[in-house]
Amino acid sequence: MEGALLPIIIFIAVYVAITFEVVNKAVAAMLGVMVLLSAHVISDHHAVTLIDVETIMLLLGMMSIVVILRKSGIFTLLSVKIAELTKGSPLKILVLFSVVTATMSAFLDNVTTVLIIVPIIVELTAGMGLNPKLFVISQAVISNIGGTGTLIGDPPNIIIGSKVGLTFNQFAVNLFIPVTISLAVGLVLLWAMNREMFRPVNTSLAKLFSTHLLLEKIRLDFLNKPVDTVLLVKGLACLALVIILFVTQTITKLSPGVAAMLVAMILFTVSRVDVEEMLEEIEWSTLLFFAGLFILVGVLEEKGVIEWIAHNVFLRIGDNPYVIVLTVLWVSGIASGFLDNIPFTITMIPIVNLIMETTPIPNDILWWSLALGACFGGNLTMIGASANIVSVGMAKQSGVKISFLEFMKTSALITIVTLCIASAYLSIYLWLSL
Amino acid sequence: MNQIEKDNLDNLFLYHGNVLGAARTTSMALKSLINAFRELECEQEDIFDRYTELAAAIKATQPRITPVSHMLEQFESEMKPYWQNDVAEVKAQATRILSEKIKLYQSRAERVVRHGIKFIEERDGIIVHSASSMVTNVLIQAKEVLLRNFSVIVLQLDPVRTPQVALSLKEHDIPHIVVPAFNLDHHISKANKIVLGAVSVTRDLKVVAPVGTSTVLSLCRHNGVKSFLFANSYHFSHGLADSQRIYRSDKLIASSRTTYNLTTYSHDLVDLNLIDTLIDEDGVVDNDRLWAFTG
Repeated sequence: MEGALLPIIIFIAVYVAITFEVVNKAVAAMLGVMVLLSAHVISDHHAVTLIDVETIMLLLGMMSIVVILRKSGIFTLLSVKIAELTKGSPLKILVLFSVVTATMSAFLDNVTTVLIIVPIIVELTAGMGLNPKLFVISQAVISNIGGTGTLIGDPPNIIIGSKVGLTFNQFAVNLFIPVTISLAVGLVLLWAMNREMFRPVNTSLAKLFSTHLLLEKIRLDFLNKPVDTVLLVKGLACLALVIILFVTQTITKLSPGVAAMLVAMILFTVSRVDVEEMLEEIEWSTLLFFAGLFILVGVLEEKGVIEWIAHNVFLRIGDNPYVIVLTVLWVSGIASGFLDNIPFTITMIPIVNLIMETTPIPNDILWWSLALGACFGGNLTMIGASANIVSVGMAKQSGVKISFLEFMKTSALITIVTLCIASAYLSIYLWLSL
Repeated sequence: MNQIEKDNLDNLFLYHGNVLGAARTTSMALKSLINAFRELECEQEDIFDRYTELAAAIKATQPRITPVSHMLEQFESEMKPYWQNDVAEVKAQATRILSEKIKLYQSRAERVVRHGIKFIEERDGIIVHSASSMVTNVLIQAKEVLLRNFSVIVLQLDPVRTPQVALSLKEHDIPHIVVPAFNLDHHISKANKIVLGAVSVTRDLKVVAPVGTSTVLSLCRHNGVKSFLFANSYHFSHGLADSQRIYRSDKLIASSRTTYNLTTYSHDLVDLNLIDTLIDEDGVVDNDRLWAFTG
């Protein structure tokens, strides 16, 4: 581990800065990289080779498609229609919005999903005299669970899929069962923990009357621009095309990153949108953050730090595959709750690779363990996942303040239960595979 | 209903009043009540109490939406024989009566429009402040039915309502510009009329109108711009101005050097003397009718 001290110090400093939001995440990561470059720990040309271009292309491609689709107004229209379908029933609000959130999170990205859903759900629930906090937290939690189901649903999955070379279909097939069970159990838990809030409203004429006025207000507030049907058709066609390319990856031999970027560029061309305006809405800071972290972790890997952690932490637990799988799951789960799950996943990938070299585990179960741990674990606290931070921020903008403890009070139990479901699933899967 | 629910109801009426105007808010409130009755599930002995509780809250909203209150009073009078029937029958009768009320209200509004279009003349420059559906319909029908050529100065008010008015005028090829109310003095030389809607006209001859109406009307009067108020008789309140429950908010504003209390009211109370012509479903309300109304 010669020359590893400075990279370790910088890496820890960046991690602390990200966790406690000392500076912007992207700035923290890139500042760390700049210090390494200035100290000649690594050359700039070499640093660029450490960036996983596949992940960046996948993120950029999907962000571009989502930005154009969002401009069409379809997501807002969909959310308003769901609000109308609930007819003000608190249970229907929870269930219907959760189904939409989970589905949108699986095929788009969960930050976009909560950006659209949270303002409407706050307006609806607060206007009905319900406590909007529970509904905001529930959508953040559900978006993280739903996003776990696909390669493109949650940043940890995008990183794992791109770096390890797992396909869209492999994610869907291997994670469908635990994600679906976790969604159902999560909703039951949310209902059971707050049963008082889910009393039906159709026994009160006043509540029904207010609900109708409220739904009209939501329509006026959120549907003030008509849906751009031409843009919508083009956007949906391209979304369908990219999913087809993901699903047929083994036939087309196109990686998800290439497929996403290819379709995004086609969409930019055919939609004739103002490209400059669209590009302004891309989350460049997230892409910069990813690039910086890839370099920081790449340097640690080259200096032997990752190997040292793998040997001295994870490989000390022995060679029992059940213990290894469950350790990766729970360590990822707990750590992702308190640290950002993106840098954690980037750090864990080389460690899991080393564990796999020593103790081969069939059917990529260790990767599913990391994906389930990092994604489900992100629900543990308010800072565990980007969707949580964005949801809390959006709620605050609408006048609803959610504290760290308030978030955790609802999310912690769901996280533990979903990690238990994942443990049971992985254990059974492993037992069947061995 | 607890206080939070009552406050929410107040806020919803305030919002819809500002965005849609009193006329559309009235129709929407009655439609919402129909839907609420249809979806209600309760025992026969509870249904009257459920309605009474809601009606009391609606009649006490800030501000009081006078046409809604009138409609509910008529509804209550016609529903009296039916409250003791079984729930399905009560719901059916409530739906029928409320639907009739909506038609009645709309027919009176249409009559106001039919009278109102006569006051729009060739080459008029018309100021529109807080356009209600009645005001918008007067302008549209003057263009479509009487083929009048006139231009409109829309005063910017609500972020949802102003674009709606501008869109309606655009769709009917009515030349218009949108300007902030505080810039009206730069445009007033192009205008000769101002048309208005109102939430209520009270017995002591005050008009409950959207915020800013008073200032705009004063400026118009000063510049010789004639004012026309369109309101069907359901907007005439038998109460006095101080019973209109204008919503008042007091906010403590903190700046870098001091803090001060800021009081705002949701609506203006405009003296009816500032209005040159009041038009209801029977045409111009002359002094005799006005005296009869004030008692």
